[in-house]
Amino acid sequence: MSWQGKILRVDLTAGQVAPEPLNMAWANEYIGERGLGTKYLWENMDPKVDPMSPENVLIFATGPLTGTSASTSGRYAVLTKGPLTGAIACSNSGGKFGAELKYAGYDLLLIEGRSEKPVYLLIEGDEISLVDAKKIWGKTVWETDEWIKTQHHNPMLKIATIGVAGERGVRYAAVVNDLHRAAGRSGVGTVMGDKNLKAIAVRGTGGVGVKDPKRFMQVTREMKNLLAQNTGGMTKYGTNAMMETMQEFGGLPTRNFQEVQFAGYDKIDAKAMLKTDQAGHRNLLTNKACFGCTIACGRIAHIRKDHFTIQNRKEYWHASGGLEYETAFAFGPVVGVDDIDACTFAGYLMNEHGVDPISFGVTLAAAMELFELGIITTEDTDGVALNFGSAEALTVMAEKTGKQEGFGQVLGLGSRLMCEKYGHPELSMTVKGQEFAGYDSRALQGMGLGYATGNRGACHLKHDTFEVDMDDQSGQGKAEPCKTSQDWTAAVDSSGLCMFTMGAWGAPEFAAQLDADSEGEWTPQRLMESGERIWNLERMFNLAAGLTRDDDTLPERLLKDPAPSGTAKGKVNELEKMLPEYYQLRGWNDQGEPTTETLDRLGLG
Amino acid sequence: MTCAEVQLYAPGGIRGLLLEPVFLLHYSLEFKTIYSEGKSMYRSLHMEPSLCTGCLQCEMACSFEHEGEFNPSRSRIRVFEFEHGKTSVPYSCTQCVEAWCMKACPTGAIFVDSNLGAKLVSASACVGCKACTTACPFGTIEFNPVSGKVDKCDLCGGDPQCVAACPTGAITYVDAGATGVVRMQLSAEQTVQGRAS
Repeated sequence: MSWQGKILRVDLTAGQVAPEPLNMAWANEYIGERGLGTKYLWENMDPKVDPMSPENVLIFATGPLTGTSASTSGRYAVLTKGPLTGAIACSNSGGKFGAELKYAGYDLLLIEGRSEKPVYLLIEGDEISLVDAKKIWGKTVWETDEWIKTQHHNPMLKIATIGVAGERGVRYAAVVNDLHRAAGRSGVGTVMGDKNLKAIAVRGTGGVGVKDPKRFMQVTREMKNLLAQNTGGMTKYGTNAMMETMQEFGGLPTRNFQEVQFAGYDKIDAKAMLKTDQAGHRNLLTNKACFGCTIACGRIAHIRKDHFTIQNRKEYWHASGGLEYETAFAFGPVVGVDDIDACTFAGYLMNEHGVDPISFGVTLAAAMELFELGIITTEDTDGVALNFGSAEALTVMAEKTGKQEGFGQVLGLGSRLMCEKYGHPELSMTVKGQEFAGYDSRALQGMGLGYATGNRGACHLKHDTFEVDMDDQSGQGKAEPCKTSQDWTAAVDSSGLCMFTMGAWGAPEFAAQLDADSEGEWTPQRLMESGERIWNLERMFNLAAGLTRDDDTLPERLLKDPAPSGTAKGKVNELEKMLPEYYQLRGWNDQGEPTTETLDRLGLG
Repeated sequence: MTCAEVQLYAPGGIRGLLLEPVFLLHYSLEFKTIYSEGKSMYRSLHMEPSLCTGCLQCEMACSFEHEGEFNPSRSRIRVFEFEHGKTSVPYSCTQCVEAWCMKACPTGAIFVDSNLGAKLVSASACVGCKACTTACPFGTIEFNPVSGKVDKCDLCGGDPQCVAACPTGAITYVDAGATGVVRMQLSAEQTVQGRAS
């Protein structure tokens, strides 16, 4: 089977590492990755602790299919109590790091305590050490990656690291692996920085086997073919094809959600990335796959050398990770910028310094609105006019936030704390303190419900009501698809595969692969049940952490200010109608707490 | 065929070719004829970096075929990335006609598969001395610390699993005489596309 049967417990306070057996009973109930990590978190920490304390636990978890030849098998998740939300944080990433961890012999890393001095964790098979990180503390993600490989004479090491943002407490710092893939959201990098853990470097030379090799090869080959035929255009256009769709639909949050359509969208969307300009420059160089992926939606782009951002900075003349939909949204419409090179550069900076681009962009958007209203001035913002549409403001502030300089320290608080600081909490476009992704809740009702009930705050990746939302713009009948897709996504996230396969594969396709891979019988029903169990355990973590039904809400702007244009013109989000129905479907009481029967049914009692 | 061309195809030079009558026969024909008829005894992996997305399915297929598990570190084909993933380059043994590894082996453990032209390692004869890894200019024959022997690409008995696993056609199994033509064709296509856009 594809589990290595071993986890690594890292006690940073004591400076000790110790392998322990994987709890297979938990793996059987929670699948792996997100689900298994949630269970380990639940069993190893008090949800009430301060996220920025040694008592918080940080987990890196792989799934059962991670490291196998199933398509998109490179995923791993980082879990902790989030500093942005005070809720459970679970962020997953692709690239090659996750699979490498499996090959090194570990299914999961459980990191406790806080190191006295900055260290990095080095795993080379059975040789594990906590190494002094003095020389890389203060270095960027890219410098750290190169430094560790050079230091250990091993270019094959795969590295997950934080940048300066994580070291200096940006509330939404990311863990970046393989230079430009990231467990980006919810501040998992912030907690890593708080623990004085700079990086994890892994080289694995062991193998991963499966339960039924012959059947596994046959079924994964069929699934790869099916996926190749159903990539939804993501190979050619990447996820940024979504920008045109959202623009036409009127669900593209613009200028801090004051509008839902953005005139300059076609200068930064997927087609713009593919276009060769008059000087012969094309933003997109090539597409790029994460480990094992058939789709290869990743973008490798470059910036015009004569662009104002980098014309005197040759260190940025190289290719790197390019715009995806969410980054294009966060550096584009929501801050009103339509300069593709500035947006691409902002993306470079986020990867280089280890920052979540969505939270950064939406926080900057709120700052721009504060600036527009005259609540903050250039005196607050280091002399930079934070006007909507300013490519200079975007790129300067992206760098200041990454490096925690000047006004970047205010932006690093996140939108909620920043808006509270200036006395205008209503301008913060967040749920539970986490910033929205690029889908407006007035045009996409079910998305709004998913945001409001999201266990890690506003997030577009933990449910999938997209099709029903596009078909019907009322709040009617959205609770059921929201709940079902939340459970299903929890199962997918726990498998070790990528949710971008969901357009090609449903529950039977996932179950078939998992059944050939892992011990026991894996059916679509079992996957769905496990997904529901995971969702409810996340909820229990949040309730224990002190969150209540009052946190399942949306900003007033989305509940009271009608969409000014687009197909949802005049509409607001109908959360009030959807939420009670949702609680009922979940088997929760009117306070949003799982009832005893629900907990018993899911084996959580 | 001129001497220079012979040098290109056979790094060992004309002397090596004379020892290899099949090679002479092969290349005495018009190149185009060999390609279109596919009658060459030499087949080889052809790797096209511009099509590679760096997904490593080839490494998994190779290690599964040879080790029965997924283990890229034991794959006989490896993919390398440059400039933040701008280029991904699959790399493996090209089955030299006059193979350095074979010549360097003191126990005669490396031999030619007469059907495919692949250079194979006899596990029973290999003593793990690593002379071949020193001799190979490409690094594509590697010492396996688990088995104590060397590993190299064996073309999977004529059905290379890396080729079957590659989702983009970046790795193909072609007549050895066609490797240039494949790249030329791709290049020609890009040239035309460039002119059209």
